[in-house]
Amino acid sequence: MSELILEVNDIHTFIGQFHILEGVSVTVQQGGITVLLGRNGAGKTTTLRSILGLANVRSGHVQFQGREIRGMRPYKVAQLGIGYVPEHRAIFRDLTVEENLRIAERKPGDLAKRREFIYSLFPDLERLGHLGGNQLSGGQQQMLSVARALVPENQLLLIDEPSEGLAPVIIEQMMEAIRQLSVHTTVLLVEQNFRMASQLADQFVIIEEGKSVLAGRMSELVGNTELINRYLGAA
Amino acid sequence: MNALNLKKISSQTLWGGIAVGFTILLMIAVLLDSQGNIKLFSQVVAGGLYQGMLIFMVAAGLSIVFGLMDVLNFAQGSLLMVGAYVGFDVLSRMSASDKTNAFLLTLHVMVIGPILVLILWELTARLILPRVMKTVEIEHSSLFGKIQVVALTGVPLGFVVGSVWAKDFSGESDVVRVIFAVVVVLIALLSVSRNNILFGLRWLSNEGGIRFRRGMALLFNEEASPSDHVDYDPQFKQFDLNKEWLPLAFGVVVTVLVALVLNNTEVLMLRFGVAAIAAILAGSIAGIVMEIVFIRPTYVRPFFQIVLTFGLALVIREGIEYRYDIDPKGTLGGYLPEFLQGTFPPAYLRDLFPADFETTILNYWIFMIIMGLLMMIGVQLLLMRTRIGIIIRAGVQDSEMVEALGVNVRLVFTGVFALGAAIAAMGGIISAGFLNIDTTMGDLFLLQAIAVVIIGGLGSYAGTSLTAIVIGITRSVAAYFSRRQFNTDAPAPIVVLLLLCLVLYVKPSGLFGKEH
Repeated sequence: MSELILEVNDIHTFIGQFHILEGVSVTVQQGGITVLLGRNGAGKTTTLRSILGLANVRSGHVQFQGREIRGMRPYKVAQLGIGYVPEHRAIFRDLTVEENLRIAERKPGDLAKRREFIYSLFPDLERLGHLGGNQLSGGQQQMLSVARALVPENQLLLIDEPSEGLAPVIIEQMMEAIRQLSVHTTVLLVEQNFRMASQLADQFVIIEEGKSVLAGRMSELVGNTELINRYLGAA
Repeated sequence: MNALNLKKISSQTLWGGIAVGFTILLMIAVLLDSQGNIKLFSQVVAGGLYQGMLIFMVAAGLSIVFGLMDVLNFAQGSLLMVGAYVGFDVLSRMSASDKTNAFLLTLHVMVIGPILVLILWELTARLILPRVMKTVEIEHSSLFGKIQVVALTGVPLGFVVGSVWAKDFSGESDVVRVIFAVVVVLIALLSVSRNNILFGLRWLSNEGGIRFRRGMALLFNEEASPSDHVDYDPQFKQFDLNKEWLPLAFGVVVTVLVALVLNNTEVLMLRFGVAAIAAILAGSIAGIVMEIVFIRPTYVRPFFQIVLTFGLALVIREGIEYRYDIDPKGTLGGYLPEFLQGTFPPAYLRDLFPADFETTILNYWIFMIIMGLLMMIGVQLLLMRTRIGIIIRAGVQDSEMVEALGVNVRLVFTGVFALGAAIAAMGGIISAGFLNIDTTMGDLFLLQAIAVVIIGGLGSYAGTSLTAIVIGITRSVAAYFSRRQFNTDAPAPIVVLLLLCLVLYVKPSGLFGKEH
């Protein structure tokens, strides 16, 4: 059994007056990919935001590398070594591709060190450097969003719906990139595309109506059509 | 997607072009109306430019703060007033004694030295060093680290050099000051070479300990433990040329040069400079307090902010009336150095122009225009070329994502607020050299600055800069024509508001604004 890098224990998160997460527990082991599964609106994105401190967690524990991070400001959480690739990418449209990468530096020289690795995953970005964020296609934006999270040396990446709205060819490329980067970095993934999730992930957690209901090894879930139908609808 | 972008870019160029064309048309109208009277024409244009620059100094903060934090700060004009009053306060209190003059020089070197060191060092490290020393990998340290090194070398050195060199420095020995200076320099040296000193100490204690244990083992006829060996982090072994020693040497040279130059400038100039520094400091401190205490708790309730900043403006005005009473203070014209007085050309440039060359443009107008342009370009460079600028531009779009990348956005907000306040306060003391200091001066600028920010497009810095100049010239031209027609320039501000209405009607998002 490998070491736990992240332990989310029974968190309750509110957005305004709404009780969104009513007891979510997620454990992520060092290395490999863990995927959060669940229907639309189940609370997967809110779980990621709760880990980062972007959502208001009222109770429960979030521990990163054995350290309690609930209640910390998001920038402090990020500085501990957590990268975030939000849904809808959140590329800075008024910045060039190069600037989008530079802003993610936590100390000078981060980008210089990682540039080669980033370009090996996403060769397209190298020639797009001078373009504005608003001039990229959806797939390029998604690549930039993942690349941005790779600039500093993060121990954990939270990736939200990387396949959303992408063409099948690009999804393949994205999957390959995530597989490669997970060699160095632990990944917690939110993914609706079950085929993609099942091919990438080692572990899964299913969230339903704001509660985590099932967790285990991905290989156990893949053959079990009953479970898949029950929690995820048709796979 | 691409067609859309093309349209967006050309829309900015189109509206920018229309604004520039409009300004040129106005100027041609003046030229025709005055029948080619260049003297009058240049006076109208220069007058418009300086008004534009003063409006810009209020509008700049308004625009950046609104873009980043969605706060429309109605107290921005009051910050200009704070700058003017603090400048007046400082200037009217300084005595003319030699000691004061020595102190002024010291203060200047302490402030200007580090800034120059930082700028020159950046240029050297980016342009010259990579060419001269091709093998050396230059590692750029963080801005904060640089500021630390530069401040720690420049400030104390400025203190020493300024004290020693002050032209009128009296013979009395000021022992405390000298000792203080020496101590500060030592601290600076320590800080700069901290890593090397720490490494030395660690090495000494480790090696000493190992030898001691070996000796003990020998004494007691035991085998020395093989683990008695320390590996050092390589970063402490090498001597960091770029980060530590070069900036230090740089700091020394530049500071000494600054002191030399300043020692030969007019004392009135030093006084005005010190007053400006005080005004800028007071403005930025007021800005920081405003942001942290009042505005930060209300980011979630935008409507409160408008009422709140409006109230703050009133409080600041009452505070100033309480402190300085309500009587207007006149201008700071009497405190200006000689080269800023009179009309262009100034005495020291007289020889460059024909003997009968005369204008009605005041030297001080040109000074205001230059300062405004410097501010404009400086902020533009800050926004486009630095990491802070990238963070601000990104934060305008999505500050939450910037925070999630590990940037302390709250601190950036405070910093940007302070920057806007500092520019306004600087505008305050600069305008006070020419305009009456009273408790309504801020409101006049605020109204026009709001018009400028809206016409330029909320949150667009380029739009604000351009529009400030356009509005300044429009006002000046309107004043010219209304003086001719009605013998008064009272209708001039109305023209600005008419222009605002027109732009809101034709392009509600402003010239450079984004359509939502």
